[in-house]
Amino acid sequence: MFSRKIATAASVCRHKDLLWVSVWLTILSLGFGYLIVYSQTAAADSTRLSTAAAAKCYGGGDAPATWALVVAINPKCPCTAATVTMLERICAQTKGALHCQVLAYCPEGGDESWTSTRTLRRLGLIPRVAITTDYGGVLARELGLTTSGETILLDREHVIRFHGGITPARGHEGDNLGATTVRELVEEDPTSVTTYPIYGCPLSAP
Amino acid sequence: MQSLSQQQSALEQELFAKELGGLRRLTDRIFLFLLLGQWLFAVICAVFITPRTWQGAELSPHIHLLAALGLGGILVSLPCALIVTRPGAMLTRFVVAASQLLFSVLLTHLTGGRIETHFHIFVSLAILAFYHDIWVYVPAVAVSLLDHIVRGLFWPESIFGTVTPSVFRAFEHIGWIAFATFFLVWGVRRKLTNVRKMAQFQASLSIERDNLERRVSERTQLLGEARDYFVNVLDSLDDHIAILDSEGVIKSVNKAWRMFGEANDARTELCGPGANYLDVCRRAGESALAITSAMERILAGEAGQFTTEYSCNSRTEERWFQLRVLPFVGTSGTGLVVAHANISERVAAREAFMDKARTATSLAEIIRDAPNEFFLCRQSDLQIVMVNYGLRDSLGYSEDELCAMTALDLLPQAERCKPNIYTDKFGGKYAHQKIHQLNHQRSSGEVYPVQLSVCSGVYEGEPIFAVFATDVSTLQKLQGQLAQALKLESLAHLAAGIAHEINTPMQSVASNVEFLQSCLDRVFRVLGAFQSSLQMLDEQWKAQRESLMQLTQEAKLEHILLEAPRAVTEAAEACKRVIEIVRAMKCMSHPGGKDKIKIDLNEIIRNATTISRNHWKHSATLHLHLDEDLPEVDGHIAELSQVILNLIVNAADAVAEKHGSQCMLGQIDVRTSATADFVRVEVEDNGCGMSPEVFEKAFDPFFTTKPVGKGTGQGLAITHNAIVNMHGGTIDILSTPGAGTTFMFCLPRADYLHLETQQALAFDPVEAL
Repeated sequence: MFSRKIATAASVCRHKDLLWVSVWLTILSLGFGYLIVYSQTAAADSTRLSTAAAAKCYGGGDAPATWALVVAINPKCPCTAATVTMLERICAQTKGALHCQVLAYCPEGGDESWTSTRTLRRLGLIPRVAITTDYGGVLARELGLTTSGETILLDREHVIRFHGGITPARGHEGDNLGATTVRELVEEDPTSVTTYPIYGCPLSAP
Repeated sequence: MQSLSQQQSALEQELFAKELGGLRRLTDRIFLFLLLGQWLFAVICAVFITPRTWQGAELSPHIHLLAALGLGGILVSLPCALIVTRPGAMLTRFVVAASQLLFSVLLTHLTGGRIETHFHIFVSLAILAFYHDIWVYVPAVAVSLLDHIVRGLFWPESIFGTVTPSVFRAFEHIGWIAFATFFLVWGVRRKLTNVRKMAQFQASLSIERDNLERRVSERTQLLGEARDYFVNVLDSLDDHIAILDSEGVIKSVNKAWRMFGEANDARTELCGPGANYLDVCRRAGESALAITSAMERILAGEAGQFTTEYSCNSRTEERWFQLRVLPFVGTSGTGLVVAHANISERVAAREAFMDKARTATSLAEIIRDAPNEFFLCRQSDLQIVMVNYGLRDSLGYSEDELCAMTALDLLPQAERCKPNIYTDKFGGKYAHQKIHQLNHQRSSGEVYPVQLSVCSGVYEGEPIFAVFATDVSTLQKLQGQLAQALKLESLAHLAAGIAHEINTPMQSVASNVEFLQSCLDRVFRVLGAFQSSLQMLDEQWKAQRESLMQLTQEAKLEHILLEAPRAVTEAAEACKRVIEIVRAMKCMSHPGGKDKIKIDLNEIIRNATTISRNHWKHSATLHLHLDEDLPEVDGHIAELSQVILNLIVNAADAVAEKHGSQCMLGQIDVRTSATADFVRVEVEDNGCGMSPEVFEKAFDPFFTTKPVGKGTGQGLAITHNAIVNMHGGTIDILSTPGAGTTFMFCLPRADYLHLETQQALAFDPVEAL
């Protein structure tokens, strides 16, 4: 049966057909490769993280009672949806042990379209998630966050325990080491990971 | 020719391929819309989910939108083109399968790796099962595997979420695909099996349907042929035939019926299909009362059939018809078959036959009452089957006695065993002669000659001989008298010559006797002188002596002594010659007896040459070349003498006709010889010969080339009758005009006939038949 089918296929697939199929597959391979490369291209790692700035996010030096996750997002960027999804999972998995502060970028003079996006509405539904409109990306810059979806995890002592992204790729949700590390740290599980690549758009134009 | 199983197998393969091809082409069409729909869906997803990308407040088209438009378009281009151009082809399926799985990759990407979008892979694998081709999972699974392998190697976190994925995760992903594929393949194979079974079932049904249709077609054709056959048969008949239903309505008619109706200007409503023929007959009243009644009785089952003849004359001719009414049992009930047959010729023939029968009866009565003898006998055993009064009265037997006899029983006892007209010579075959002379024997034992005329015929279906027998006893007597008269006439013609032949020796005798008489006188005178001298004395003797010597000299005694014996001898020879002629005359003029006697043909030939000598000696020399050991023949001496005399006289006439004017003598040769069976006689002359016309008629009675008064034309006719009919011999002629003629006849040897008779006694002619 197999040999007969192969023989039939061989007779059907003429050289011209194979050429077209090859060209087609090649183009597709390049396209999909580019997509993967695009989604897997991480943002440049921030080196100027500021713990003080992070604390500022909680109302001027009041120590948070729980672990805090600060996430800078661009509410209009479609890639943020994946970060929101991952946040939903992390918050659900940490069972209230984690507070999340979202810094929603809004350009100076930004209208309501920046502050009432679908992403923000989704974020508003997640328990223990606070949204702060970050006009002009000032807060993010103070924290040293430059990429939408970039997060920092602060423990109870306001020590940054994790910095990076919580999505496996740009705009892609799913299990990834960043999200897992955040969950493990909050749950006090020992881990040596402190950072994870950030897959997202820049919060400000170059 | 393929067997049924081979036909079913081929049809099954064809149906299976057709069904499968149909399913695959349908699936191709489904995928055509599915792929285009997915492309549209991908674009919509990109538009709604990731239309733009932001860098701060600056936006730009998201790469997902470009990918949905461009990559999605490329993704559907080739499969859609193949679906349109090569629906059902394996390459199309493979490309579609690869494209569908790549769409899973694209949609997963466009939806941000949503776990729900991964279901698209399994849905795609399930939809690929519509193809009913397990091999489409090869490119599908290959795409999935390749995606995992490439991304696992180069971008592991994009698929496993970690840069150091465990092998278990890889196998977990692959395992689920394999799990789904396994059951899908199993399901496809089951489906293929079902499709094949359906194809088998359809093939079986199709073959059965074809067989049924073929049988129906054949049966329909046969029925059509049968209908055409019967229609043609009915149309080919001269009878005018109509089929009536139980009400007497004409259902169908044949061509002869229609043509008769058209020829006689009959109205269709009266005699065409649809007309009520029974009503027509009823309305005809008294003239068709019998027919109407018969048709009603047959329809009621009270009568089987009805036949009648009636005359129906046209303006120009007298016509007779026969009407036959028969029951017609059809599927719709009992009807009638009405057939009118034109029997005018038959009636005329019957009348003619009756006339001939009456004539034949009259002839038979005439033959029966005729005084001439007539009878019929079977060819197989010569058993007499019919005789007339003439035969009965002539033979003195009753009809019953004669009908218990055979034809051979009518012959004398001695002749029954001999070959005759009924049998070939010892061969048992029928003789070819039509006329033959035999003897019949009356019940009183009297034997009388009859001439039989026999012809073959058929009597009551059996080959027979029709024998006409004529009593020729009176005729034979007259013929004998005529032959004798003719013979005497021939002798009369030769009488002058014979007289001359006798006269010549008689003159010799007379002169010699006269000479001897004078000699005797002289001798007596000398003897008287010598007697008287015996009484003289011696003295006187001397003188007497001289006187005696003188007397002797005067009497020329020496001359007498010399010539007298010669004269006596000559006279004796002359007398002998006369005696010979007289004896020949006596023999030739003998009327002969009724029975055959043993005859020496050489003697007859010598006698004939003797008495005809004066006829031929002036024109020819006759040489006899006779076989001195010639055996005798059984025959009638008078007739055979007549035959040979005729032949010699004819030869002499022929020679004289040719050589007479030239004062030259011709030549006649008469030869006799013998063979084992026959004695052969030839009379050859070198005379004038016969012309072909004369040759043809030589043996005809009353045919002659001689002047009136010299020939009767009966000579050769009698010769032929004597040789052939009376002696069972043969006669033949060899003649060359101007060169001569040879007559040859053969007669059976007497000793051969004796042997033949002995053989005949041991021969049973009936058995030989």
